[in-house]
Amino acid sequence: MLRRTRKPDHLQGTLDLLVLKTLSRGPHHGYGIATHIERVTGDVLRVEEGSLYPALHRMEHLGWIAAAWSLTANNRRARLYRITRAGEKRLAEDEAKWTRLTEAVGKLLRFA
Amino acid sequence: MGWFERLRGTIIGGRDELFDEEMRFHLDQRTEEYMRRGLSEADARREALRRFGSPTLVREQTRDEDSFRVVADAARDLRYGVRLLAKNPGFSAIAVVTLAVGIGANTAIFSLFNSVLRNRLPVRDPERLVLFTASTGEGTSVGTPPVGHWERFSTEIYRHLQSQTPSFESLAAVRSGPSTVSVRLAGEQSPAERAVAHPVSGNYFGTMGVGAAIGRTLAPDDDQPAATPVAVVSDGYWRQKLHADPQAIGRVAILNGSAFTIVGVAPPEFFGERVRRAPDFWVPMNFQPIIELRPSFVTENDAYWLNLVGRLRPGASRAEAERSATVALQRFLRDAAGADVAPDRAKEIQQSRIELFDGSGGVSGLRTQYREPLHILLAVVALVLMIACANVGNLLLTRASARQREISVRLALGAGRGRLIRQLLTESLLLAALGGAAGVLAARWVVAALLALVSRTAPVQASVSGPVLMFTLGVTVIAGLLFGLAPALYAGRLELVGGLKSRIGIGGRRRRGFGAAETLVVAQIATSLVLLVGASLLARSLINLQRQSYGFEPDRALLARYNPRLAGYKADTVPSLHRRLYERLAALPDVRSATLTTYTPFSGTKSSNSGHVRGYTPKPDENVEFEMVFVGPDFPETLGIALRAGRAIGPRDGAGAPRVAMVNETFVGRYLAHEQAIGHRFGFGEDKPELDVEIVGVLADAQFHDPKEPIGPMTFLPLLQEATQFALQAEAIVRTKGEPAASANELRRAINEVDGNLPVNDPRVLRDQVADSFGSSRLAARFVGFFGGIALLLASVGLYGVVSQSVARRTTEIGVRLALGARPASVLWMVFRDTIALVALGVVVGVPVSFASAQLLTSQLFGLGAVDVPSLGLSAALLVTVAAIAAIVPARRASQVDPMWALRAE
Repeated sequence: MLRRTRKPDHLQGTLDLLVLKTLSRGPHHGYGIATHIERVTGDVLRVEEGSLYPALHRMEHLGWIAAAWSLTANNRRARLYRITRAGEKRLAEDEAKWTRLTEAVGKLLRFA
Repeated sequence: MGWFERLRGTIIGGRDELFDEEMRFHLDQRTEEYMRRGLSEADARREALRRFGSPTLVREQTRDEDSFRVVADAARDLRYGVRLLAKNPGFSAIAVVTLAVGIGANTAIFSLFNSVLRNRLPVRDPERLVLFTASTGEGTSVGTPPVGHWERFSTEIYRHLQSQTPSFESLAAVRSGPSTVSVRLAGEQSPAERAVAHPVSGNYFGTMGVGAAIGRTLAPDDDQPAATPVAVVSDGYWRQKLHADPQAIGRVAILNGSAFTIVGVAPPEFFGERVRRAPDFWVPMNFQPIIELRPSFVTENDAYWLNLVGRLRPGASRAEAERSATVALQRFLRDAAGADVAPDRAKEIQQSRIELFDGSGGVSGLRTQYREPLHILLAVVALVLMIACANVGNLLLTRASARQREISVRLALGAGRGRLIRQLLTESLLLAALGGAAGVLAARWVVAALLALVSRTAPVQASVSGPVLMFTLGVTVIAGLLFGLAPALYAGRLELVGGLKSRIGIGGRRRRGFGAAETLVVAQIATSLVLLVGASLLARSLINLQRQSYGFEPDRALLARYNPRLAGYKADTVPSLHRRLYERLAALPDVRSATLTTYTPFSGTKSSNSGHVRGYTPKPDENVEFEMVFVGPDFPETLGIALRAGRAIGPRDGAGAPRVAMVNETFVGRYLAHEQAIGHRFGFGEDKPELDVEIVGVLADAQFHDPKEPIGPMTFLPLLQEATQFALQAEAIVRTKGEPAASANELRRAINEVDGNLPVNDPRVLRDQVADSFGSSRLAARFVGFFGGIALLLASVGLYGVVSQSVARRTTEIGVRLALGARPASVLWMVFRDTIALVALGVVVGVPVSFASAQLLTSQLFGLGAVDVPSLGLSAALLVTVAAIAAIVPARRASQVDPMWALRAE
């Protein structure tokens, strides 16, 4: 019986932010989200694929994103995620928080 | 994904395929990407998988996100529990049967309790019904109006209350007790049969709030003097005698020779306002003279012959209605008494009052009679259930120690203790649910059997209904938690390392000490003792009741009730019938002596009248009232009541002879303390010296009624002299030379030789009549005894299990002892001694508890106190004997252990 801690840590929060931001540009499937994050960050941020899917399902239950099965260009079934109204609200909050955090860290680094 | 799909996925599973597809898509994409970068397909796939991590783990984590954790855990526990039960069918069967016994007993007794004490009449808004008496209020009084609390009313006063009490939406009258009539259906050749008819006011069905199942009910217009006679039949009568024929409406039934048209059938669940006595016919009360074959009470203003049932107006309170009805009654009485009322009478009127009682459950003699026994039984079955729970708890405990390794492994793998306890409790609740379901099934026929014992004719419907099922559900859950607690706590305490060591060595943990199992057994023994003591107390009390001398000889007295009224006799013709009957019966060859009487001891009948004794001045507020029995010649001899002084009423005390009487010793003691009783005079009703009777004999006191009540003053008057309504219903008593039951047919035949039309009830022995009157005591004794037996059985099964377990655990130790030269007998004694020690401890704990709980039985006991040493001794002896038998099998098994085998098994 495995027991997982459910405390929201920084990493998890970051993953949520990355996913929501990605989806705010349009629907994506899981793989698409992962590659988009890697491509945009120039491979600096690599998504832990093992935690991506549990995170997607969790955010789905929280109502931030919605999912539906659809066909891709080469006629395969893929699960497409899109952001919801609640997700957008959440994204705005997280983005603001993140910006404040990085600015604060930046100030400290510049001061030293 | 909605919560419903999520829940369904949680319980049923089967969502993994979808996730697998999502995952496959991801891996395929990634593989293609790597191939595009130049890797071979195999390498690309391996690299994709490496990046993704363990698909199983991801799948599980995703699934966790997709399910409700608590529900998922419960569903998993349940599946696991079912598998486990199926794997041990023997264990499961024993546990389920044990629980079914406990829960079934509770369900059965509660449904009885529910239907006798809690059920409501099947009428519209039963809570608005009120009764004017708390008891059945049967009987009739003619002459002086009642004083104090009025239970019976005259027609005139009923009409007055009806118009003067606005708190009632409607007020109905019912004859104070139904009557037996002879019935013939017009157009059928079959002979007349007996049926029960109940005269009621025309608004009776409207007041009760009951419609007809077929046809119509009685209406106020049917209750007019000029109306055509109509009747409503009960569902039971319609089914049995009218073959459930819908065309029966409009048929004519000849009741006591008069034609009544059947206008409707009552609903099947409606038995009238009297829960126990369902009439076959309801007829308008105006036809009372036909039904009862006596002059009309309807127009008789000093006949108090009606009970009342009221329906309160919505919003009206019972207290308010009680007040206004009392005011109306007193006003009526004052108007009737006129202006120059005697001060005594004025005071009586002032004290006349009406009390209203909750009518929602109807009138029930059953309820008053069985209230206490049923409460006792509820407590008893609760104890039985506790014993059953202890048994199952012990079984689970045994299994938990067998599962020690499994549990330790799971703890080692990181299972939380809370989670583990939850799983064990789930298993317990599963067992309880199975036991509960089996118990409900068993309860269905137990209820039927119990009801048959309560009353053969009881139209009480005890079914496993909604409230009963709720009760059972509650009991089941509580039971599951109770017996699940021990093993769950055990698992919670389990040490990790010890549990993983596989075998228990010789010097190791022998666990001979006092564990949870032993505690449970001691509790079981103590509880069983409580039940057994209760059962013996009730049984001994019942024996006392039956063996008690009541001042008459019940053994060889045979009784037969006959009804001159139904055979067409009138007050003036009945004395000669009685004389012929007496002479015929006294001449029977097998009969030592014969007599007649208006009623017999323990028949449930009592007739009292107020009167006066010459030379006795009543104390203020004293109501001089004595019982009045009319008897034929040879009465003391035939019943076996001792004649203390004077002579018995004889054949010469007939028509025209002086008015004489016998009285009992209580009468003499109370009214004639220092005087010569013989020759003294007393009278009934109006104080007219010419109507007085002279005492010619004094009889020893004999108990005619409830033995828990003191004997009152009684008078015995000559039946052969009585040319009144009183003599129109009587009973013959013969004292036989041989077995009384053998003379039953002879007695019947002899009565019908005198008059072939005389309806005669089946003769019965007085001893049986006495015994039958202890119905509720017998019920209590029998049931508590029955459940005590079950408790004993369950407790000994539990004891057997615990001793067997300890023998199995100690096999190695016993083997060593035997190998070292211990004799089998001493091994046997060793095991036996431990067992008896447990039992003795249980008894020691049980004794004070038994004494305390026996206090609750005091009101049910007769002739012994709650602390009764023989009962205790008997119960303890029984308990120890049965326990010894339960212990002997495993003890013998221990003594026959083969030392070589036991040691090699190590």
